[in-house]
Amino acid sequence: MDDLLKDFVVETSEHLDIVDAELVRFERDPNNSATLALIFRLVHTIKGTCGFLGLPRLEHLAHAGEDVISGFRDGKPVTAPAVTMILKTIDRIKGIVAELENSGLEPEGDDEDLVEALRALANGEVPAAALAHQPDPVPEAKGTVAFQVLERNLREDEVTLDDLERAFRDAPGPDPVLFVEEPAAPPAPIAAAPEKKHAPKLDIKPESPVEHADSDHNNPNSVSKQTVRVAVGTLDRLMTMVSELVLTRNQLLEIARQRDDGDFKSPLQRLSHITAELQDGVMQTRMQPIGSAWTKLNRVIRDLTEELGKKIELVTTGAETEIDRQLLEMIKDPLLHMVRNAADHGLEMPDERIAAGKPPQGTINLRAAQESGYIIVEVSDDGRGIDVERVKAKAIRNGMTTEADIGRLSDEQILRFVMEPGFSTAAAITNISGRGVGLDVVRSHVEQVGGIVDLRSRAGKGLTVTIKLPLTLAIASALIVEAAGQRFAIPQISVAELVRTQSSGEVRIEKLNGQATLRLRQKLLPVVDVAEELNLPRAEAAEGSGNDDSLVVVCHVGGHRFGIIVDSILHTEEIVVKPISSKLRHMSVYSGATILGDGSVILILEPAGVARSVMEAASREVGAQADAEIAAELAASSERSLLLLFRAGGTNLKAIPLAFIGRLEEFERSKIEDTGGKAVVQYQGRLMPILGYMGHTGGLGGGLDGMGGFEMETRQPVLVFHQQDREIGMAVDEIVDVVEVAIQIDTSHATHGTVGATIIDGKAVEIVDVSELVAPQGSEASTPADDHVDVMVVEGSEFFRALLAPLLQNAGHRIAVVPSLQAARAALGRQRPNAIVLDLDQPGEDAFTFARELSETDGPPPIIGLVSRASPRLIEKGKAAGLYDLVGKFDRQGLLASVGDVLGGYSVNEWGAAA
Amino acid sequence: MSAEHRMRRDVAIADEIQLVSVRIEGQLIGLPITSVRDVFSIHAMTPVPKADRAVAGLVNLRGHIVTILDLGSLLNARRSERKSDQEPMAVGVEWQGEVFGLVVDEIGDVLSLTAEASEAMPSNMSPNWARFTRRVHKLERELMIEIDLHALLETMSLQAA
Repeated sequence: MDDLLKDFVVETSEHLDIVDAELVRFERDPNNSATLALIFRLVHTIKGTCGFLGLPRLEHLAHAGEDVISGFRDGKPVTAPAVTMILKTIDRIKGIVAELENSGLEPEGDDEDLVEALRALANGEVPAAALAHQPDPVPEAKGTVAFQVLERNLREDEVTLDDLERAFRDAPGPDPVLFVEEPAAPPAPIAAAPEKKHAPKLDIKPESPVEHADSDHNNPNSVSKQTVRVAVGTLDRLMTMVSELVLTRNQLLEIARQRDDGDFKSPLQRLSHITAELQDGVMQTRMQPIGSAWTKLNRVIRDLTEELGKKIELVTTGAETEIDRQLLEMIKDPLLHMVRNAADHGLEMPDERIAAGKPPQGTINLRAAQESGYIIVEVSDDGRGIDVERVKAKAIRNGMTTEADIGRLSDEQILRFVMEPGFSTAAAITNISGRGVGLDVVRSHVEQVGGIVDLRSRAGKGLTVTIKLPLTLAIASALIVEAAGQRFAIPQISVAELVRTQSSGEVRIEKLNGQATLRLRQKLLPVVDVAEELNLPRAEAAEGSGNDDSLVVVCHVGGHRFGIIVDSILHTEEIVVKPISSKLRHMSVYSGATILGDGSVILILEPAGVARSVMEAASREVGAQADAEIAAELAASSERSLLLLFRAGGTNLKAIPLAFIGRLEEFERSKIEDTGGKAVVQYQGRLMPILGYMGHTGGLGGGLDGMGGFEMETRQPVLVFHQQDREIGMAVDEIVDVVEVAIQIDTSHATHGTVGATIIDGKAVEIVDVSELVAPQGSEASTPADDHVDVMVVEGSEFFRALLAPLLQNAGHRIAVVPSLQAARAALGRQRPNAIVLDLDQPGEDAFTFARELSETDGPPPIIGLVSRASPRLIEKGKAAGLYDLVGKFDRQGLLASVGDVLGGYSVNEWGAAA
Repeated sequence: MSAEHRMRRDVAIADEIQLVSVRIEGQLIGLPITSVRDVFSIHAMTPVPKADRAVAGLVNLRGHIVTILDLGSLLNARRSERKSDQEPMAVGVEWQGEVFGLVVDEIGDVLSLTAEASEAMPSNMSPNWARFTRRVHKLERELMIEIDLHALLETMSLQAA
């Protein structure tokens, strides 16, 4: 049996025991979502591992069981028969695992009875029949050796000498089946290491009694008994006691120093020495190179490569980094999840990668290092990264945040939604990952041990997940601070720096609209006063001068940087973190409590929790600063757009924004027919009316009147417009050019049929009013009706009003058009559109303010911002104001897609869906 | 009554209920001895800012951090501030694997009572008491309310959440 399988057996047995116990508890208390989540994760892990090891029976069973539990999670009633079924499934899995441990093989057999019953349960039926008979699979499996099951995963370079020998050992006596199969298995390694292979074989004789004794003990626990597995709790207690011992020693040393008593000195020194050694020793027993958890990952990647059809390389650095054993245990699963995520969702298929200009082989980098007293573990891939926009849409759809709030979050903060429980949906359940147990598992595991997870995504370039862990679990380094006379501990892991502020100095605290802000190295940092935050009464003395000269603990947590004001910083101390009472666990400001060396109890502050209440406000204020610059940018950005220049009815150049034209076509003159006085042409299997032909100008008037009468050329250029579900053509004399220009439209020259004129290359160009061309016949272009509308368009420019209204109407939306923000406010009083299209360049008023205002109302409609050109700066600003999207003014497709998105529900986030 | 005397943890005989008697705002209250671990006086208590008002604070009890709850507040019976002339007494109770200290005004004897001599809640009691009262014992001189500790602590977690 190889190491991987051994680990699996031991781990799974443990997991199963927990599931057993938890399920029983869960049945009694079906509303306990924590218990359910635990069960779900364990079963999920079992399923996942089975998949990798190629244990189809187990995987099948676990999967079916998971489906039922998943149903509970979705709110299906927890019935006794259902729990019984799952327990039966667990028993069956246990039986198979026991057999697996004995023989190293999954026994043959069939679990359809159980799987059927579980499926029925998952579908909401009562599996009465299936419960009745339960054939025991284990006995019938005895003696059957399905070696292929294991062999499927054995690669040539993987069969070590060790494994070979173990294979011999694991075969008790002459088992013909095994021996027939054995030589076929790994011919290459034997060839590769022939000398080594022979030597141990000669030695086998003297060793054999021992080996026999071993195999005779062929009981289900044999694997577990090869090593002494010390319960983590035991090591923990040992560590705690040593920690307490260290604290006591320190107290004694302090007393001895004060008394200067010679008699104590020598034995105390010795005690001190021994204590230090003991501490080292206990710490040492808990340390393990992180690489031991990585060996498994190589195998995982190899299997994933096959399963996903991707090319993946795993590069590891820092495998020798030593880490606390318990920590290692805790991050094993997260690591597995992270690597699977990277392979499954992060890396693209080879052809996609080539198309994106990347090498076909994806790389996953696994790095570990000890940096400034912490262990850093990093998993990075060079895949597609996470699409922030999709995360946003999904987070809003899942009710995790609102349009209004998300605008204030930085990309880094938005990415963190991916790690919230229930972020991903069951949209893409794959064998590898899915079902919404992914990054939230990673986060909960890591945070449980006092670590921090950070995501960094570069769109199109990959994702990096960084885990920062304390060196050891039992003892954490903390800053002991005082606020309003009470002491608190702040974990060092989240402390970036300590700053002393002075009212007259360079570093000072300033109020920005009532919010305290620290100006630090020319950057503004939101700060909170811990005493204020905790409603602690301040002493009178501190009241007056407190805000001038204060101490700020600068924290960096989950993408946020902020300061916490304290009265004094006492010292740093190694503290033994104790969990806080269940009655206080809901309080986000505390992460635990500890007993200090002097015996007093102090609370450990959770920096993120302390700062939470002001985060939003602070980020809003800081954002306000950039407003002026943004406004300038908005005004300065010229309205550049692509115009189609053509001639029709005269020599004057005419223009239409290219975005409004569906296609440019040329039809043979002879193909244009006259039906009932209207010109039509067969186009894409249908008849398309053509305006501007032989005087049948239809709704076109004014400037286009003159174009009646084609030149008798053989081919006729036609501009094709999409009108709802049909096309309409406009015949022109000549298509001149497509130019990109900064249009400055002079609408005072608008005549019937044109919306205005502009100058291009020194020549006057009429801009044709296409609203009648692209608007549904008979409907008015802009009707601010009192009845319900889908989309409200807020557009100051008449030109764009004329362009946008028909566009949206065409797409089947009922619209209302208003010329100003003021009009919009008035209209919003009467009607509630499902979406608002807002030109951000509003004269006199800030459209962003309007957007923010709106987003603070009850159930605000999503706002799509229109800009001439979307600079990154504007996009950032738009996000901050809670805009749903930013679209270029002439980006017809973009606008329609965006409006469609808003009205038709949000698009599913692929990455998150499968994460 | 010593500061830290351990209660006997005898298993009650079938028809006998053993209750630790405590007093809050003059009212005699009985706590089932099976859930009482010990009785201790509170020396140095660390307040928990912003916590529920029933949470009095945290204490170091022989190297363990114990959360101290004010039984009077829990029962909504606290009318006056506790007298601070002496160290407050607390009853240590175990609930869902965790030890809590319940601050009381006074701790009395352990009483052995029978269920027969008790009655269900009189209907005119305030709903707050009604929720946590298991039964009322008719003692010779006064009535004693037997508290349902489980309901009491469970409700508190609901409030907290």
